[in-house]
Amino acid sequence: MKRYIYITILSLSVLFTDCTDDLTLEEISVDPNNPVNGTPALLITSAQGSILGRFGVDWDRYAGTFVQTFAGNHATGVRADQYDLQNQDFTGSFTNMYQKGFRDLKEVIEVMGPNQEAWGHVGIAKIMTATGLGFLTDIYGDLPWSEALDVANFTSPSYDSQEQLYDVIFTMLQESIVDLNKTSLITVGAEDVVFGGDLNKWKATANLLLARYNNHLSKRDPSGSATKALTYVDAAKAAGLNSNAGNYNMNYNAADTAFLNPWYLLFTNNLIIASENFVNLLLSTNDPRGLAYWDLFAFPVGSGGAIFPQIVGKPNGNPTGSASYSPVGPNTYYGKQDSPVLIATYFELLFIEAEAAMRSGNATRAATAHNAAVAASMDMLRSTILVNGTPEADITAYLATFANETATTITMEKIMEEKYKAMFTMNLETWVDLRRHDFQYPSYLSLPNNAKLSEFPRRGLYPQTELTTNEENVPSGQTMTSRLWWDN
Amino acid sequence: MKVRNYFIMSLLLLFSMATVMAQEKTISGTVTDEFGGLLPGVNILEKGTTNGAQTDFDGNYTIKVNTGSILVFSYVGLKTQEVTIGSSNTINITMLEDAAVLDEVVVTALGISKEKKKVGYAIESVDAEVLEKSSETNILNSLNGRVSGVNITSAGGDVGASSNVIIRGSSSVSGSNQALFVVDGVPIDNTTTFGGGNIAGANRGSDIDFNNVASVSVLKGGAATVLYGERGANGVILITTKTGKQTGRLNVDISSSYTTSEPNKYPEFQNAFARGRNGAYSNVTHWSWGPSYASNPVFPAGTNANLDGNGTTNVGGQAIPFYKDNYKNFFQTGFSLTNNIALSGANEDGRFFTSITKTDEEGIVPNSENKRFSVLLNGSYKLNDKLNVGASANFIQTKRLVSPSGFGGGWGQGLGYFHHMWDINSFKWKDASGNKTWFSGSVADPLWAVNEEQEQGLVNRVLGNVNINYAFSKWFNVSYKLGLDNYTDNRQTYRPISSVNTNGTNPNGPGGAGDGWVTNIQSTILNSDLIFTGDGDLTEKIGLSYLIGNNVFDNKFNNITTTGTGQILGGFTNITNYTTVTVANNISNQRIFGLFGEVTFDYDDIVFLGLTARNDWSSTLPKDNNSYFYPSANLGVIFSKLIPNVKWLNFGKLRGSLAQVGKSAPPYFLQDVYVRDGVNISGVPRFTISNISRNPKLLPEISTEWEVGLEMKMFENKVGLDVAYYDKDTDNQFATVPVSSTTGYSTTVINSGLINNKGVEILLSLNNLIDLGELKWGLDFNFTKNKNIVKELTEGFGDEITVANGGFWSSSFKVAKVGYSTGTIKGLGYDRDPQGNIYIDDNGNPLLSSENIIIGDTNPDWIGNMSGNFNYKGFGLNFLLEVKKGGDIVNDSEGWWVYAGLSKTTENRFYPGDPTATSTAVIPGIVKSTGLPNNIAIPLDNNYYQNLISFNDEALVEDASWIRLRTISLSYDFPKKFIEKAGIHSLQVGVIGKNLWLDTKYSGQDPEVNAYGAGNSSGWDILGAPATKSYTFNMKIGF
Repeated sequence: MKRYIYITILSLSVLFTDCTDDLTLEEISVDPNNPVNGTPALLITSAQGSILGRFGVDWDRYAGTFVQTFAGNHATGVRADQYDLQNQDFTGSFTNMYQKGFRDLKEVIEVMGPNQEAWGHVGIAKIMTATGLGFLTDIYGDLPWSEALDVANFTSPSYDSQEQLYDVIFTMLQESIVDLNKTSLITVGAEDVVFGGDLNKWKATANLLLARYNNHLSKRDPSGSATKALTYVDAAKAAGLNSNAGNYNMNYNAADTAFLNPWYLLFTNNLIIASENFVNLLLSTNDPRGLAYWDLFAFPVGSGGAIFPQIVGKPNGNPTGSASYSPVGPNTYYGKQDSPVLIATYFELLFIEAEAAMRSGNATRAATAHNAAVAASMDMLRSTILVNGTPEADITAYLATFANETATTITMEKIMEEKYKAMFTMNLETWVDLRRHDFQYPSYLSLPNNAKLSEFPRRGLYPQTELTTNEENVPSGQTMTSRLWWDN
Repeated sequence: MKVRNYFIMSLLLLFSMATVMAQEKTISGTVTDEFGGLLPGVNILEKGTTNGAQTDFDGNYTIKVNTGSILVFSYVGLKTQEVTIGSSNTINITMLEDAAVLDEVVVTALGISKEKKKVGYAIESVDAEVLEKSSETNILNSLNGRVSGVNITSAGGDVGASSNVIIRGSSSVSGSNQALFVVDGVPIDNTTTFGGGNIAGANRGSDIDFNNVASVSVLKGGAATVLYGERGANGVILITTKTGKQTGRLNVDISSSYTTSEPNKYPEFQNAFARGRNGAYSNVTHWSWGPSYASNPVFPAGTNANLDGNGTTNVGGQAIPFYKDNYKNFFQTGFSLTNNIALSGANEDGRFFTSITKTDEEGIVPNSENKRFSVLLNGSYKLNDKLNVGASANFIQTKRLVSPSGFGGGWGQGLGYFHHMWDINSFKWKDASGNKTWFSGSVADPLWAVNEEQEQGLVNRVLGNVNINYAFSKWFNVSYKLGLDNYTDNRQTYRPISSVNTNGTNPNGPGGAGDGWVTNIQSTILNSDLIFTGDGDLTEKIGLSYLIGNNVFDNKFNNITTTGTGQILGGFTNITNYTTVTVANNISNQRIFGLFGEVTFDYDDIVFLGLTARNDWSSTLPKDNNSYFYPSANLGVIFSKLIPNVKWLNFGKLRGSLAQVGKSAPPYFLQDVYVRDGVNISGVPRFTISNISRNPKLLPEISTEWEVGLEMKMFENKVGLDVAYYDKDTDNQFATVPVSSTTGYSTTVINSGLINNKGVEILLSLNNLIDLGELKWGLDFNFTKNKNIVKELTEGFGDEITVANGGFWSSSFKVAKVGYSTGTIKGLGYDRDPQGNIYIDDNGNPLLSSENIIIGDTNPDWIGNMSGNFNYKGFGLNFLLEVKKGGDIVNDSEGWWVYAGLSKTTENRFYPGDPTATSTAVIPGIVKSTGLPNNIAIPLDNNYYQNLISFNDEALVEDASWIRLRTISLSYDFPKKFIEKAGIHSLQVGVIGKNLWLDTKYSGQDPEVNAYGAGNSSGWDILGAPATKSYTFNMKIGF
C-alpha cells in the first residue's frame, strides 16, 4: 500500500513537470516578448526615425515663426510666433534623440559595430549622432554628454558646455570618415533610408556637416571658422557632393501612414502657415519658387464672388482670426506625404562657401558660389515649379537677376538673403544664420505683433522633464533671449 | 421521495425492533430546532449504553429506557443536550445551535482547518449565507463590510465592473496590492486586463459562483499568509466550496433570485441655462453656457429642427425644448436572474457535490449585459482508513457585452455635453447612411457609444484540483494537491467608422476611420503542493504538530491583440475588414518554487506557539538573488484558563505574531530588451532599445509585520470581542522611477523605499444579550483603521515617485511621497500663503499654483459597520450599516461638467446685462500684492468656472465620506411541518435591498467608485456608470 502511495505521488509530480515544461527559473526569466539582442541594421533605421525624423517637427517646425518664413495660425503656432513658450513646449526632439536615437547609436558605435565589424554602420551612426547633437545644442546650448547615456553610473547626468559639445560633433564627424573607409564584414543596405547604403554620400555628408558646424563659429573665431569651413567645402565636393543628388534628406514613404512627412502632417492642422513678410518678399522679387513653397489659397475677392487663387501670408504675431492663409500643401515640393525633409543640402554647401569666402575676403569665390547656390536651389525645385505652372522663363529671369553676382556686386546681405529664401523649411539652420548675423538679414525682420519678448529669441527653454528629473544639473536662469556660446 | 421514505422508515423499524427487548419505560416526545422546525434524524442515546433511537420525519421519537438514566440528544451542528429521565413519559426538546465558538474551526493557509483558539493571528470567516444577503453578482463585492481590515471598491455600476480588494492598506508603490484569492487550496487568477479601446475587463475573481461557496476565510497579516509565500503578501481570501453532507439522502437544492437595480445617486445638474456660449445660443457648441431660460431668450427659428421630442417648456411665449433629466433618462433599470440547482450527498466513505448556476444580468447602461454559467462537481472518496482521494472541477463561462464608458472615450463624455435642448430619449445618433449625427470631433455621442461601439467578451474557465491524502500514522500524513486554473478570454471590440476617438478620419463622412480589436488571452496557473504533516502529544501536556511542504506555482499568460484601423465596409465587424491590421503579443510567464515548514506546540491547551519559515525561488529575480527566506512566529495564550474564577469571562486569549514575507518583482525587469517600433520607416521595420532600464541586480521586496490581538467571550458567550493591532514595514519596494531622458531611458527599475502600514481592527459581537424566547438577535460591530505612510524612497530619485496617472479631465495624479500616504494626490490647486490663505490677484480672482501641489488623500480614515440579525420563528431580518470616514475622490466628471456648463455648480452665473444671471462672489483670501483680505467681488462667468474651477484640480477634490445601509434583508423559513408533507426539506423566501439609503456630502454619484477598477489608481470618479441600489427576491428549496 505504501508503495502505491509513493508511486502515485511521484507520478503526480512527474505529471506536473511534464505538462508544463522543464525550463529553469533562469530560462523563464527571459522576456519572450522582446529580443535581448538587436542588429546594427535594425537600430540604424530606428535612429534615423528618432533623430532625422525630428526635422520638420517641434523646434525645427516652429522656428519657422522665429525666422518669419512662417506665421502662427492658431494654438501652439500663435504662441511660438509671439514667443510665448514654456518649458513644456517642444520637448519631443530632446527626449526622442536621447532616449532612442543617441542611445541606440551608442550601442552601434561602441558595442555592435566594433564586435561585428560593421564599420559602415558605425560611420553612419556617428554622423547621425553629430546631426542630432548639432540640432539640440543649437537650440539649448549646454547639454549632458560625457555623463549621458550611462544610466548605471549617472541617473542625473551633468551638463557639458556647448564648446565641448561642438568638439564632440567635430570628432564624431572626423572619425566617421575614417570608419566609412574601413572594410566591413556587414554592408549597409536598405536599412539606411537616407542614402540606401551609399557610403560615399555619407562621407560627403560628413564633410558638409563639418563645413556647416565650423561656419557656425563665425562669431567665436571669424577667420579660423571661415578657413575651416572652406576646407570642408572642398572636401565635400571632392567626396562627390556636386549636385542635389547628394542632399542629406530624411525620406518618407506614403505607404507608412503612421510615419508621413511632417510637413504634410502640418498641412492637416496648419498650426503655422505663410508669413506675410516672406510672401511679400517672394512676390516682390518674382521668385518662381513661390508655388513650390506654398499652396495657392482660394481667396474670394469682389462682390461678384470671383475667385482669385493667390498666395496669402499672415502678419507675424497676429492672434487667431477667421481668415485663411497659404499652407505648405501637397502641391508644393515639401508638403506631399512622401516629400523628403531637407537636413543639409548641396545648395547649402555652396551658400556656406559663399559666406565663408566673403568672410575671408575672397569676393570672387563668394560670388561664384552664391550664383551656383541659387541655381542649385532652383534645380532642386525646377520640376515642381514647372508642374505648378510657372514657366522656365521666370526661372531664367530670376537667375539673371539674383544669381548673376560678381566680385564687385556681391554682398553679405545678398548671400544671406538668398540663402534665407533657399533654405525654406530648414528653419533651425536659418535661425542659426539669423542669430549669427544678429537678425540683420533679411532686412524686413522686426519683432512680431504681440511679442512676449523684447528681442528676438536666441535659444530654447530646457524641457520640463529635465527640470523634474535632472533638477540639480540643468542650467538655471535661462530665458529665450540668453545667448548660446557661439552667439557671443 | 417515496422510495427514500420507505428506506429510512425500514431502517428505523429495524432499529427500534433491536432495542425493544430490555427496556422498562417508554419515553416519547418531539425534537424541534430553535425556530420551531421539526428535526428528523436526531440521535438519542441512553448514556453509558448502546441503547438509542432517532427521530422520525416529524421529529418524533420513542425510546425505552430505565428510570433515572440520562438521555443524550445529538445532531450535527447543534448543541448536544442531556436530560435525566424523571417521572414524565414525554420529553420535548428544543435543540440550540452550537454556539460553542470556543471550538470554532477556521480554515487557515493551505486549506488546513484549525481550531481558532490555537491560532496566533487574526483570521475572520464569513459564511456563505451572509454573503448571499448582499444582492451582488460579484462575490468580491459581497465581502464588503463583512470583514474588518478589508477595503473593497468597485469600479462603478457597469456590468462586470472590476473591484479593488485591499487588505490592511496598500504596501507596494508600483507592484500589485490586490489580495490573493484561493479556491479550495488553489490560488486563482484575479487579474483585470484592459481590452481594445481602453475598456477595463472584469477581475477574474468574479467568475466564482456564490452558490458553490460554503465559507470565506480572510487571512490578513503576514503570520497568517506566510505559507502562501509572496502571492499571499497582500492578504489572502480563502474560498471553500461546498461539499456533500451526510444526511442519509440525496440533497437537492434549488435556488432562484431576481434583482432589479437602478442608479442610487445621480450627480446634480443645473436646469437654468440653455445650450450656447458666452450667454448666447449657439448651435455649434455642446456647451450649456447659453442664455438663461428665465431671461425669455429668443432662439433662432428652427432651433429644434433636429429634434423629434416634443416635451417643451413654454418660456416667453416661444416653445423651447427643455429636457432636464437627460442624464437620468440615459440609464435604464437593470436586472439579473440567477438560478441554481445543486445535488449533493455523502456517506461514510465518500461525498460529492454538484451544482449548475446560470446568471443573466442586464446593466443600467443600455445594451450592457453579463451572463455567467457555472458547473461544479467535486467529490472525495475514502478508500480505507488511511487513504482519501478527492477531485474538483468547475467550468465557468462568462459573456459580457459593454460599451466604452468615460475615460475609454465612450458614452460618459457625451453625456456631460448633453444640454437641455435635446431629448436623449428621442435623439437620432445616426443618419440614413450610417454616419454619426453628433458633430463633435473629439467627444462620443452617448447614444452612439452604447449602440454602435461595443465590446463582446467571452471567458471560458476551468478551475479544478485533484488531491490525495495518505495518513501513515498520526505522526505522518502525506498529501498532494495539484490545482489548475485555466481560462481563455476573447474580446471583440468594435468602434465603427464614424466613431470619434478612432485612428484616421472617415473618408465618407464625419468622425474617425473606425477601429476594431480582437483580444485573445490565454492564462494558465498550475499549483502543486506536496505536504507532510503530523501531530501528537510529546508529553501529557505538550502537543506538537508539524508541516513540511513544497509548492510549485507556475503562471502562464499570453495576450494576443489584433488591432484593425480603418474600417473598409461599414457595419461589418470582422477584424479582416480593416485597412491596416496589426498584432501585438504580450507573454508573461512566472514560476515560483517554494519550500516551507511549520511547527506548532501547545501546552496544556493554554499556550500555543507556531513557527513557520518559507524559502522561495522566483523566476522574476536575477539568478544570484532569486532565493529568499522569510520566517514567522506566532503565540497565543488562553489566559481565561489561568483565571477560572472570573465567571463572566468564558474565554480570553492574547495573541501576538511577528512575520516576514518576501515578494519578487513582476516578470522581465532584469535585462534590457529591444522593442519593435510598430511604425516602419520607408517600409523598413525597426527595433529600438526599450525606454525602461532593467535592473540585473533586483532584490525581493521584504515586508515585516508584527501583530497583537485580544479575543474574549464574555457573559455566557453573549459578548465577543476581537481586537487586532498591526504594524507592517514593506522595504525594498520594486519601483519604476523616471530618470532624465539624457540617460537614454525614461524610467529605471530600482528597489526603492519603505512603506509603513499600521492599523487596528475591532470586532464586537453581541448575541442574545437579552433573551426574549423565540426572538433571537445578534449585532456585530466592525471597525477598521489603517494608517499608511511612505517612510523612505531611494536616494538620488528625489522624495517623490508618480505612482499612477489619475485624472482624465484633470491633471491630478497619485504620488508616493516621503512622509505622506500612498493615497496622496497631486495636481494644480490654489496658490496659498504659508497660513493656507488663498492668494487673490488685484482683480479679485484667486490665483492658481504654478506647479502641482498636494490636493488630497484617497485613503479613508476609518471604516466601520454594524450588522444585525433578528430571528423570530421562521423570520430573519438582517441588515448591514456601513460608514466610511475620510478619503478623497477627484471628481473628474465634475471638471468636465463644469467646463461644459452643465454642472449644478455653475447654476449661479453672471451674464453682463442679464438681470436673471447676476451672481458675483468675493473669494475669501489674501490679495497677493497687498497682503490684505480680498474684498473685490468677481462675476461668476464662464471664465471663472472654466478656468478657476474646472481647471483647478483642487476644486474637484471632494471628501468621499459616506454612511449607507448596504443591505437589508428579510427572509422566511417555512416550518418543516408544513412543507415536509410536500416532500420538501426546507423552503426559504427572502427579499434583499442593497444601497437603499446613502448619506454623503459628495456631489457626484455614489462616492464608492473607482474609475480604474482594481489597481493602484483608486480615487478617481471619471464619467462612469453610477453605483446601483437594488431589490432582490429569492427563493431556496431543499428536497
